[in-house]
Amino acid sequence: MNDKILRFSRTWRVQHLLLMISVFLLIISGFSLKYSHTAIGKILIFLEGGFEARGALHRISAFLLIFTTIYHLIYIIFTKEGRKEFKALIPRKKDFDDFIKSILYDIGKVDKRPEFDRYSYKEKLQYWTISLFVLIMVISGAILMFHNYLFAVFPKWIIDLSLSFHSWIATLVIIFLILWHFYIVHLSPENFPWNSSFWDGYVDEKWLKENHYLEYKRIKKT
Amino acid sequence: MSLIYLFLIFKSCLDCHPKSIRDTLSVSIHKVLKCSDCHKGFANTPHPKIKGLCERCHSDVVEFFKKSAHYGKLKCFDCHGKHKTISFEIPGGKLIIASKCSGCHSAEGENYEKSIHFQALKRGLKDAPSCVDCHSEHYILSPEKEESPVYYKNIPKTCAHCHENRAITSKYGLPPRRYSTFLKSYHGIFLEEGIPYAANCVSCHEAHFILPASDERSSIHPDNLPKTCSKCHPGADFKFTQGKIHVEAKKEVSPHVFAVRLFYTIFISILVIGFVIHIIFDLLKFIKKRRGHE
Repeated sequence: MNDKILRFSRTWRVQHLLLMISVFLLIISGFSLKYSHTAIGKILIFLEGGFEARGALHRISAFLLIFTTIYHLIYIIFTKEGRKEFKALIPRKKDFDDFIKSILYDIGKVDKRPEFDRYSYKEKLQYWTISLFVLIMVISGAILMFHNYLFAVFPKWIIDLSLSFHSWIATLVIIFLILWHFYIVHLSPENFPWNSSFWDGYVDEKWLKENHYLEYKRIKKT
Repeated sequence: MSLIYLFLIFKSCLDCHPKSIRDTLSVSIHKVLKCSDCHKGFANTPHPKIKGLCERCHSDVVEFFKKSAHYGKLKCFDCHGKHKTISFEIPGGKLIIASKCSGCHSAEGENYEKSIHFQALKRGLKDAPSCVDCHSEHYILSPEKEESPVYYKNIPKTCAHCHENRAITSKYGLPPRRYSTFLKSYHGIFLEEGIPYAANCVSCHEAHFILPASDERSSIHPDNLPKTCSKCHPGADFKFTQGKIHVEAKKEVSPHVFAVRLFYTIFISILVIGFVIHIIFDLLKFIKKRRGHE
């Protein structure tokens, strides 16, 4: 019963790892700029090797994130596996129904948890939210990075707006990662203390049956 | 009584020295002093050389002056006068200071006299700054010295004395919070981090020729902004000048930034509440299920 099943392929894991590293570096190097006057900001700047090195680190991480995004786009457009994964991530009406059913289950109106396919509504929400975040961050970040060229094109308030978006979305990303992503994949009772599949790709058969019953059924059939 | 005494003292000095000295001294702040209070040991001729004259009474001030950039180049009386020593704390005293400094620093003085600070002084607003309010009084240092109030890193704090001072900005209808809004900007953050090329107040507002944006000659008049900004940001033209430099997330100042902040404050609050509720319910359900199994 406790056999291991490969849930994430190697490319899938590499993409996640690149995303994880770049977002982590972006968060600490960005946080230390926004809070540069505080003690924690000063410690972070020191660890990053000074104020100007902090900026360089932020830009290098940003390019890593953009590279990862391009890698991912090539993956979901040009590979068979990628197209399959992407199709599984497209939101459907079932996801909304599952969401309602989950609420009903949580408050005790329904006895059975909804059955999920490869990606539940919670995981789809993570994928699409992070995609949207990356899009906004790359655009606003590019405006800030090339501000000297864009001063001739945009009025100053567009630059201010980009800065405002950039820092608020960053706040949102941090909250989202801790309270939603970490909770769902590691800290929630089914996965506690952590789910190692992001690293080796394997999950317990029991875990898959409990959390992604429809996918489990499909795998068993073949 | 003292006047008679004074007269007697003068009498002996005035045997040789012109009477005009007495007249000058009688209008100065030192009018209660006798000649010998400063000219010690002058009873005999020839007189000895005067040394450490002002220091006898004003040691604290002289201490500062000795550390200043003027020490060795100027003497006390170059600014304060010899016998006609007056206090600068009289109405119009700040204007006299400005004219004294202009004596040597003519280019700076000329620019200062065109500035809003000087115009305000001339109109009798005694809060308006003259030279010493920014450069300090006796402890005047070169702008290259780190302790100088006009050292590039200290300039914002120097201007903040008035332009971040609610009492002064509201009294004269000046735009408030110039310092805090600057500190939050990239210019402010970079300057605080000690990046020498970061803009400080005078990079845009000029050091002495400071004028409000409404004045055509001002470096921050909308027509002149492209020139001022493009000193560092080539290509910053009229498009760029739409929007405030001192950004504040307020409806009247920066409406776009205000809207973004309002939206996210509400959105993030709702999201955090939602996430926390989700976690609580998830955990409660898990505990319930476990109990059911036992």
